[in-house]
Amino acid sequence: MAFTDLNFLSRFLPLFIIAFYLSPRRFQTVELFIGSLLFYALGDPQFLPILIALCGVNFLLAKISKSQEGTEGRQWILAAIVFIDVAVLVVFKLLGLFYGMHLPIGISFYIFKMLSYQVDIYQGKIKQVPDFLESCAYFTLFFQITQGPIMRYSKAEFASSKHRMSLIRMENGLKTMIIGLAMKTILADRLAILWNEAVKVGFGGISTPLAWMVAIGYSLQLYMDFWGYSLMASGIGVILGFSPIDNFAHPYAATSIGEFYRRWHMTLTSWFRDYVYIPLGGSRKSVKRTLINIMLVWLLTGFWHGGGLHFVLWGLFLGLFICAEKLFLARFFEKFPILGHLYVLLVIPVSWMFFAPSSTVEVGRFMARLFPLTGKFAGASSEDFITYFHQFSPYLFVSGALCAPPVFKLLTKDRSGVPRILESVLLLILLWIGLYQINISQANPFLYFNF
Amino acid sequence: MMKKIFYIIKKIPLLSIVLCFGIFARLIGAVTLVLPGGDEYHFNEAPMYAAALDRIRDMTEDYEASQMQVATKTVEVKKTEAVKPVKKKLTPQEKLDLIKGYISVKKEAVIRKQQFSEAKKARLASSNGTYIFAHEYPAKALIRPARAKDYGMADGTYTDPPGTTYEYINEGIFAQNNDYYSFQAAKDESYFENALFVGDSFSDGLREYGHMGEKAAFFATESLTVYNIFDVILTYRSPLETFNASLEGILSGREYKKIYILLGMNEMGVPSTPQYREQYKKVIERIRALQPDAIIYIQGIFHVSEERSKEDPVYNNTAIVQRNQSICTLANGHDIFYIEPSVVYCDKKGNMVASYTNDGVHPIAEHYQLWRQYLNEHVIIRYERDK
Repeated sequence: MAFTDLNFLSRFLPLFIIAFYLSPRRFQTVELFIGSLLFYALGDPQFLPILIALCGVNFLLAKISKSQEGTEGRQWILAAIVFIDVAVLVVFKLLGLFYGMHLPIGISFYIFKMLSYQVDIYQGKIKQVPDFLESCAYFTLFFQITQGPIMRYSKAEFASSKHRMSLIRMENGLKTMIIGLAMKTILADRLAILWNEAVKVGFGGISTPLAWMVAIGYSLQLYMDFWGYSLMASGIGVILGFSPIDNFAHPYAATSIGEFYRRWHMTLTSWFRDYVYIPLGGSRKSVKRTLINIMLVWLLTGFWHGGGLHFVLWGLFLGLFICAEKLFLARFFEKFPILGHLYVLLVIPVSWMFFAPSSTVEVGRFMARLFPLTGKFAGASSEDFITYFHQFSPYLFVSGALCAPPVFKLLTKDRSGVPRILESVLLLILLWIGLYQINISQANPFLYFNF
Repeated sequence: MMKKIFYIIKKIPLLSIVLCFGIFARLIGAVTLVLPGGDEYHFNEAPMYAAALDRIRDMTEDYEASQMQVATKTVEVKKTEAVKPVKKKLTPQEKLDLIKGYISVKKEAVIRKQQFSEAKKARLASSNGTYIFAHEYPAKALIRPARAKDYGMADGTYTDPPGTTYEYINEGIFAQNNDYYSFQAAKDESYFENALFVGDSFSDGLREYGHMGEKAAFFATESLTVYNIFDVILTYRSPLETFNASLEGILSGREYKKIYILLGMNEMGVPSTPQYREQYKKVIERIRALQPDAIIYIQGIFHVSEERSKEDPVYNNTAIVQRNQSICTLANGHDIFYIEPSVVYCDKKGNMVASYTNDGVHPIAEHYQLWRQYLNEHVIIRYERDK
């Protein structure tokens, strides 16, 4: 079940929040666990046993790992745990890749949570092994299980005894949620139509200007979609008494690719940094070793996003740029930050075009349109660019403006002079438009299938 | 008390507004706006759907009645198929009825009949004939819809009840006396210079990516349906001119010798097939009334890919084949013809080959050329000027 499903927004979520607020504190962890299982079962019941089994195994092994503290064999227990978790993930990924089986929803996310939990226990970042329900509630947390963010047990003060609930927090959480919902439904879903059009026509049939517009549109769509989703998850967390989790910090305002990914999907990037890059030696060893580590991390990131070869190419493409930055580019762009901004705004949309098409062949086709050195153009003329620009420019401009930190600051700055009721009415209008969009796309599934 | 409430509202205005609004919305019965599955809903962005849905609502009320009609029709069909078409001389009144009383049509039809016999003689006399007659019905003259593998995904709401067949229309105005035109290849693409294509995004793709717009005129845009085709105003494009117009306006102001129609993919989610066929028939009748001298081609709805056909309850080949079977009965072999360009994209199971499409529905830009080629190979030639 997605956050933009009306059954979630109008039934599951309100009922859960009411039940959560009304029940005594000691039941809240149980409630979170059961609610999360229910949420998972509503979306993907067939893989629920796998989720429950992994929860059980991870909890037991964590107990064993903790009890062996200080002994020699402990690292082997950790190795076994990591092996089991990674093997499950890899097996499902390979099944999906070769047999077209669909992956259990959110498996990449909950396994990453489990891995971080185990490593943190091993390293002593989590002092005591939490009890069973608490661990399971952390693994399965319903507002994070499908698309993250990857919350850390050690960092995010998961312990439910610390839940701070108040109407003020609920208000703030609701505000974050509405902003996220609006980004997703009003901007991202509209921009998605542009990408779908390009896919429909076939990449051989779009002119070079249109190909660039599509690449930029896709970059913005992905950002609005994922950022909106993360804001909604964060908002729900705040309503339920958790601390807000930042997953994005204006990535498109970065001056290097490395910085972009420190600001983009921050919980995933920091996961790879803490559990892959640093254990491999990070940048403390030789330059050669650093570069190998970077490439390895990006290879894994590519594979994590999807099985196809083009995801691996996407990872390697970005890895190469980050290596180049480590060697010399970063120093250059430090001197000329404007060139750095341009470089990010050029390289990132191109990199997404390794990510978005359905296969490596399609990536090749798209690249041939972006850089029309080879390949024949099957489209009519470059007038297609103008037609689509008329249709999509409002969404492109608004999303583009939201990428700029000054604009965002202007929108979110504290206006003590203006009555808050005004702000609330504006947010209500956004919520209304968002719900309206969801409703028309759900009540009439044919609306977006215009042939 | 009031002070307290006011204080709370001041502290948490958003929450209070949303809560009050939610309660209010439920109270006034606007539940349909917040909850899924609302029926009474009109979409600003899709007025044509609202209109189409209105028609379905009217239609579903006597749906059972229409089903009974279909059942009775089944018997008739068997009868007409078994008996060979009888040579029948039309009385002037019957002729008038047939051409819906349009004087211009009548004149044309009479003149044409004279020309026919002359031309037929000419053809018999010389091998350099320009038109072919198929005397056997329907052998060479009529194309029948391609079949497709049924994956059992079709939603019964949008498909025919089992055993439904439709009555073939055997009467037409151009070739009379049991003569039927048969298809042949066009000598060159000048054949399309006096043609008009009417349709949805498929036809628009043919214009843009099949480069057919360099030859023929197009009245086509995304999401056009048989229900809204005469209601919308859109950009008419011909090699010489481009302007906004309605179909009525174009058909009244210009003369075409061939009209290609492709409508149906957008109607797949609108029940039911008899309703669709009925509306299709009305569209053809209206076009015929405005363009008495045009050959009308009905193009079958394009088959979708195997992937989509397996998963989609609405846009699957089972339903598409049914719809095609319903509209192909409107083709009479005299002046209205059924062709199915989508076969060039299909494999043996009747699914669109995956490499021809990205979304499972539309051909990708490079492959519209195949459609154009099919059209070139399947034309009806009546006179020298039709070539």
